[in-house]
Amino acid sequence: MTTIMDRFGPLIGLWRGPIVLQDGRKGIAEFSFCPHFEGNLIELVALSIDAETGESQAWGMAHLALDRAGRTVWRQFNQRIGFATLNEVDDDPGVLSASGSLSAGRQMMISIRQDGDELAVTVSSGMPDGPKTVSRMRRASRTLRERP
Amino acid sequence: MSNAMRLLPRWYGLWTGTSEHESTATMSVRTNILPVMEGRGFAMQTEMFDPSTGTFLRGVRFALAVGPDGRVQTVGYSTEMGVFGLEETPDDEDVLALSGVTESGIQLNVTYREESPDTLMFSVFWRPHGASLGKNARPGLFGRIHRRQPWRPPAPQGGGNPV
Repeated sequence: MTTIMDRFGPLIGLWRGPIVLQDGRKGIAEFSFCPHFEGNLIELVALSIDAETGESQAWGMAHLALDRAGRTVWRQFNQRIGFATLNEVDDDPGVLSASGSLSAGRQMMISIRQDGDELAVTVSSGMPDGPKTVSRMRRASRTLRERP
Repeated sequence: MSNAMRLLPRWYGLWTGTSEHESTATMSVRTNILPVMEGRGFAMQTEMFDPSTGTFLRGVRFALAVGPDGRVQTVGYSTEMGVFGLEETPDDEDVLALSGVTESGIQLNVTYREESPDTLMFSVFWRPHGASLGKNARPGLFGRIHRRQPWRPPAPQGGGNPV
């Protein structure tokens, strides 16, 4: 049976790089992807740090797993948007794109493109043509052990 | 303050015990409860094993946090039911109660009750979404776990050195 690790195993590890949040603030992004339950779950812990003060400016978590049809389900929390469930949408091979509904008719869309040791992330959570959170990170560590 | 936000910090640590499942024999249980997102949320991971063979049987991992709307919800995954989002529901002051529908359409109700400061009793009900629970419904999974050790911060991992 295909697992989420079979599809997105190269994401596992710690990534860091500059980020511009949807509201225009700039910072340093840190994304860590960690596998659980024999590769059936990937947990993402995401943090954005103010580059000047070192303070946390945005944070969140997500669980990625495959549904029975083999499509990625993305359940996430971040402190600004709150909770949302996103479902995979078609994209280029190796690119994880997912979208879902938020309150008040808004849509959330996330796209993660990994190319070797580079990771590009785009997140929108309003109108499709509105501002987006954008980050381009580099791999800081290749593996993370399973954590509780 | 919600029960979850009040109870979970005092439950940090490793808990172990046994559980009964509707379709299998007694399982051994390990549950870790720890802070996540710099203490703004809580994670619980439960693993269940066949006590005679050590075989991993099922696992659940979820994180709880307060959303911008003030509601306590979860990011969660179960090896049996896949991705789920639950919401805290009101209950007695010593009970963490969560309820919701999984991505696969299963109504899930989970409770943790503090029997004593070092003992938690948990029960899980599930049924197809929309089906009634029934007057004499029994939990599909229930168990009792005991505090084994307080939570300790993990060693740093990852680090900043490029590979």
